[in-house]
Amino acid sequence: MSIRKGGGDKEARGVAEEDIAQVIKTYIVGQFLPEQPHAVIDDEDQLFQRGIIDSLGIFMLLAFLQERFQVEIQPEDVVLENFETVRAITRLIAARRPS
Amino acid sequence: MAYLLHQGLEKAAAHYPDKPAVVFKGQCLTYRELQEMSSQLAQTLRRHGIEKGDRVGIYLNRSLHAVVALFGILKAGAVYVPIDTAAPIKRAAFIIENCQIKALVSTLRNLNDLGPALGNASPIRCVVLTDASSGRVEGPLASATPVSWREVVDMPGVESVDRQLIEDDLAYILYTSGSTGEPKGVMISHRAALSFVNWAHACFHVQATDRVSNHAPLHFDLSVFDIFVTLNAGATVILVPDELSVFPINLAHFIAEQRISIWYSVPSVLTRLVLYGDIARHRFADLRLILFAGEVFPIKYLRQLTSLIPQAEYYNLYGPTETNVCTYYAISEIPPERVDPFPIGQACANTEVFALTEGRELAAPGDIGELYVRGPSLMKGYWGMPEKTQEVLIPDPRPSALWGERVYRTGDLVRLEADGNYVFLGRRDSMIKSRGYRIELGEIETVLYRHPHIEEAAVLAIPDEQIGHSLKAVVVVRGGETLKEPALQAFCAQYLPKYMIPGTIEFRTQLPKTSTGKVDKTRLSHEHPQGRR
Repeated sequence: MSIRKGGGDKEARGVAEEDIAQVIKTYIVGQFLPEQPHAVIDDEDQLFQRGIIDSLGIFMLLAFLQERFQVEIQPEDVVLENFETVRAITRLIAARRPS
Repeated sequence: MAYLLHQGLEKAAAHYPDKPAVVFKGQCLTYRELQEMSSQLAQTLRRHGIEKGDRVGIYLNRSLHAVVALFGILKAGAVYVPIDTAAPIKRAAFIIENCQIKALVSTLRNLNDLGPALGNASPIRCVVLTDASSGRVEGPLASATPVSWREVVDMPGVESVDRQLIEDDLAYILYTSGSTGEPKGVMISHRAALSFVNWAHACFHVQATDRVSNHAPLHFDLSVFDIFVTLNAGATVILVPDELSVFPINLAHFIAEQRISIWYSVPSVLTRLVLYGDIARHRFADLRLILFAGEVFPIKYLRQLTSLIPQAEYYNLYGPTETNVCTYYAISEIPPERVDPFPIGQACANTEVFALTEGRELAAPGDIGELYVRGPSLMKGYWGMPEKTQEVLIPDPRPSALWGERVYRTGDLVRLEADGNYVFLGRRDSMIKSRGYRIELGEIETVLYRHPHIEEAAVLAIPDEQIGHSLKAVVVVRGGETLKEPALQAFCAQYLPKYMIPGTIEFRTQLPKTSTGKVDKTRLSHEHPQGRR
């Protein structure tokens, strides 16, 4: 899946963010909900409050995000506000990606 | 005199009716509210046929309702059984079947998630729903009587201490990992729980002004301190939202902002706070006591913690679920050259511990032996497992023993120091700790063998300084079959909680064997000596 497709600047960013969200959702379902391969995660689902991801999972998620999106996530970025939902993670990744 | 676990609440509620008893995410229950609601729940359970000694499950996420449920079940004379909502539903279903849970306090969402794992012959007769949701319970639980929370709070909240309940009756059952592939239910009586609670209350001078964290889930015995010691003392228990525990920076902020005065958790949580919590930013002015238990605290992180939060007192508590806390050690200054972990210390009040050497002699200072525990805090046994119980609750083996009194054989190897303290060295068997959780490697191996394509499997615990151990499986797949790591991990996830799923799986064509034809785990583990250090 390409995360940088054509179109105007504004549009490109919008499309890319949608793609980021989809990649993250696919990863989360595959990695953290192995019991429910058909589970659907919404942008606003509380990933940690619902226990979908726990303290073991956050390290795997961080490694995945840095590798997949070629971003560096600093220790001070690792706070609930940046990770509580797919939308929050997408926002963080978009902000940390080289423009 | 209080001889039942829930009687402390009644007394504290009389003293401090309007004080906050439990706080969670900006919501609070006062002592009066907790006392009244739990009595109402007890009445409700009674009305729906719950009798003394019946097992009532709590299948709730961390919440104020879960604390109400604990006390409501105890007041009904029943036995509470906390079931991990984060564990696979098959494991929850096993527990429900195993100890024949007759009523379940839960939410509609949790119940409908659980439904598919339950057989049609589920023992559950009644479900109490703590959420206001108006949906229907589906699946095998549809035949159980649903009770709404509204019905609970419409009950008269009359006090009714059951005169037929005595201190030897069971208060709760906590399930822990079992080596044969199935969890074991540790049965704890009112007396056993209360002897720990009373000791801890006095030893740590817990005051009505204290604000005590509850970090451990209810199915983990650390929660017994958080809930019952705190509420016995008229203090306030602050439930730590699970999502904060994942993010050390948020957790550190929470501890400061909530003015926690007593913190109790496994060391790996504190290690993560030291490493990633940026705790130098906070003063933690109220934090006076930090207790930890469940695993060895690596000295270098403990040293950093004590220098960052110097005003707090630190204690290492020790005790398997089967005995409650049975020894403790006050951490004093940590010399810069010290590398050995601190001892587990000496016996708590009203408890005796001793160690027997391999030659069955009483350990003298300097000797290594297996630790035994004697006292009122011991479990009654494992639910429905008389043989397993007899292996660990054995007649006092010392020559000085006068009658066949039972003592608990911990399986932990210790060294007795000259000053009378015991030092934990390791296990006699293949039980290990990871993030403070007890894990029987055999339980994981049993699950791996359940997979139709697995021919051989061995699980290794790789020492890891931050979490105790990480898990690695080495497996052989049947000829002609293909199997990948994620698929096998997903298979494990159907049966095992997350902390028991091997993080890495190595595929081989064969495993090394001993001369007797068993998998040679010693050799395997020597091939993997290095963990994170």
